Amino acid sequence: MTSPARETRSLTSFDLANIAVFAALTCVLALAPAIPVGAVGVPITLQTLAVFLTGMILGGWRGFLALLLYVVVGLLGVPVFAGFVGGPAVLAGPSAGYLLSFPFAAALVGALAHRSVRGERVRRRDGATSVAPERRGGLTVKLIGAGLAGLVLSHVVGTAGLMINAGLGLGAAVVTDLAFVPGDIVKVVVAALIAVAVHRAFPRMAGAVL
Amino acid sequence: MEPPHRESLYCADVTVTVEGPRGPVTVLEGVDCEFTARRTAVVGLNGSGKSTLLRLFNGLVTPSSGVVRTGNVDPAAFPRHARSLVGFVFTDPASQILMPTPLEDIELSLRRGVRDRAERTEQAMAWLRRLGLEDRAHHSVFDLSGGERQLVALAAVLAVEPRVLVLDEPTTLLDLRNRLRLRQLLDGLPQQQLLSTHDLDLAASADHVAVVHEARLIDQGPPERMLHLYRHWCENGFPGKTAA
Amino acid sequence: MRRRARPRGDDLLGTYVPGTSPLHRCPLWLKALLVLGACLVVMTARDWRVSLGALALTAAAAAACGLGVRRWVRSLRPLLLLVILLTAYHLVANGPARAADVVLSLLAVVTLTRLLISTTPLPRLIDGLVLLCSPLCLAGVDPERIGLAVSLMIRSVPWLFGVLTSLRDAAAARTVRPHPVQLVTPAVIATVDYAHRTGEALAARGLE
Repeated sequence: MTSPARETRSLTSFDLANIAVFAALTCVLALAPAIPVGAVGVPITLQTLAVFLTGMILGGWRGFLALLLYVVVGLLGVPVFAGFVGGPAVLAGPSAGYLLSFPFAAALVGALAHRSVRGERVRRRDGATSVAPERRGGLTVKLIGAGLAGLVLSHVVGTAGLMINAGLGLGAAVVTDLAFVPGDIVKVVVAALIAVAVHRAFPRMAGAVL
Repeated sequence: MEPPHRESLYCADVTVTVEGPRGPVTVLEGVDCEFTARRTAVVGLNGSGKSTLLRLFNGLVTPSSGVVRTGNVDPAAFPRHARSLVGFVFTDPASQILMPTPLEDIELSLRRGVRDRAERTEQAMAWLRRLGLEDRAHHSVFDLSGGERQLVALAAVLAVEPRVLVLDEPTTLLDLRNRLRLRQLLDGLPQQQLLSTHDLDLAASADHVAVVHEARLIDQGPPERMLHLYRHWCENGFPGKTAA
Repeated sequence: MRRRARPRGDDLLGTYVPGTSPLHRCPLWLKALLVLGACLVVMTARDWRVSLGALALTAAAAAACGLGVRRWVRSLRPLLLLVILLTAYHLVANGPARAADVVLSLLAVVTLTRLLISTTPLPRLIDGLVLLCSPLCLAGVDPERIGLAVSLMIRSVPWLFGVLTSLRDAAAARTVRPHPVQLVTPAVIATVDYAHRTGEALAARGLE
C-alpha cells in the first residue's frame, strides 16, 4: 500500500503494527510447548524459528525492532520467554546470550533476506511483480543462506553467554551449544519455506514494488 | 437539537490499481459520486470494490487517478486531516480494537485530546455507559461477544467525535439481535453515515443507495428502487459487459 | 498447547487483580523502586536465607493485597519444570546451599515482579514504561509509540493462539494430523494479514 503516513515519520503505522504483531508471534512460538529431542533431551522450542521468520519477512530494521520489543517486554517481567519465564533475572541465566543476540540475528537475517527478495523481483520486471514460481527454489536457497548467517551470529553470542553465566569453559560451552545447532538448521529451512510463501502472498512486504 | 452538518464525500473519475500476487489489479474504475445523504449504503457482491471505495475517504487507499474529496479535504494529501473528519468502523472488530480491554481501547482514542489521565478514564467510562457496556470495561476483549466487540469498536471511533462515520460491512459478523441493536444505535447518532453492507434491511434504512459491481459504480438512487434492481441483477445477471 | 486452555493476554500479565490495598494505591514509581531494590538485594546477596525471606515477604504482601495465596502459588506452576531442572543441576554441581539460593532467588524475583504486575493495571504500566523511555526523545524516538507497540503486542498474543488453535481444529475436522510446518505456514500468512489490518486500524484512528 502506498502509505501516506510516510510523510512525517520513518516508521508508518503499518511498520508499527508489523513489529508489534511479530513480537507477539515470537511470544506465541516461544510459549508453544517445547519438543524434547530424544537423544539429547534438550527441549527445542520454536523461539528461534520466530527469530528467523521475523527477519526474513519484516527485513532488517523492522525485524530488529520486533525482537527488541520482545526481549525488552520479557526483561520487564512479562513471562514471554520459553517456559513462561520473564524478568531481569533471565539476564543472569545461561540462555542470556542467545536472548540478547535475537534482535541482532533478526536484523542480519532480515537485511540479507530482503535484499534477495528485491533482487529476484528486479530480474522480472516484465509485468509480474511477485517472485515467479520458477525462481522460488533460488530464493529459498538464498533465504536459507541469510538464516544461516543469523544462526552463526546467535550461536557465537550464545556460546559466549554460556561461558560467562554458566561458568563453562570454551570447550564445554561449544559442545553444549552444538546440541542446539541441528534443530536450528531445520528451523532455518522451515522459516525460509514459509517466508517464500509469505512474500508471494504479500508482494509489498519487502518494500515498494517496481 | 443542532442542525446536522453534512460533508460531501466526492469522487471524480477515480481509478484504483493495486499490486496483487499476480500483477496489478484494478479494484475501482472511473467512479463518479457525491454522497451527501444522512445515510448512504453501498451494496455489491464480494470483491466488487465496496471496501476500497469506502477507504478512499480517509486516505487508507489513495486513487491511482482521479479526484477524491472528504468535505473540502484531499485525503490522499492530508490523511491526518481526513481521518479526524471521518471515523472508520471495520468489519472485524478483533483487528480494530487495539488494546486488551474496552476501557483501554477508548482511552487510547482519547489520548491525543485529553491529557489528564483521570479525566480520560472518566470520559471513556461515559462512552461505555452510553453503549450499555460499563460492566465490560475491564474484561479482555476476547471474552466479549461479537456484538459487544463491534459496539466497543464503535465507541472508540465515536470518542473522537468525527463528523462522518464510515462503516465497512458493520453487521456482517453479527447475529440478528446484535444487528438490530447496532442499527438502533446508528439511528440515534447525529453523524452522517456511509456504509457498505450485504444486509439489505440495513441498506433499506439508508436515504441513498449506490451499487458497485466489478470495480464500477453502476447505479445509485433511492433505496427502494436500487435494492429492487440489485436483487433483480443478482438473480438475472448484472447489466453491462459481463454476463454472469 | 493441546490440552491447555487458550492462554490469554491477561494470563501473561499475571492477571491484574482490581483492589484498594496500599500496594494498589502506591504510585508506580515507588512500587517499581521497591521491587527493583528487593530484586537487587536478592540477586547480590547470593544467600538462600535472604531469598527465602524475600519469597515469604512477597507471599505475605500478596495475601495482604487480597491477591490470595492460592492464586499466587498457582502463578508459579509454569516454572515447575525449570525449578526441578535447576535444583537437580545445582545439587549435583554446587551443593544444597547454592541450589537453594539459585532456585529461591529465581522464585523471589519472579514473584516480586508478578506482585507489581498484579497490582498495576496495564495502562499504568505502559504509562510508566513511556515515562522511563522519555529520555529517548533526544534520539528522535517517540516514547508514546513504544507504549503503543507494547500494548499492541500484548493484545495480539491471544489472537495468535486462537489462530493456531482454529487451524489445528480445521485440520482435525478433515482428519488430517497437521505437521507443525503445515500448521505454521497458514498461521504466519494469517499473522501478516492481521498485522496489515491492525496497521489500517491504527492509521484510520489517526494514531500513526
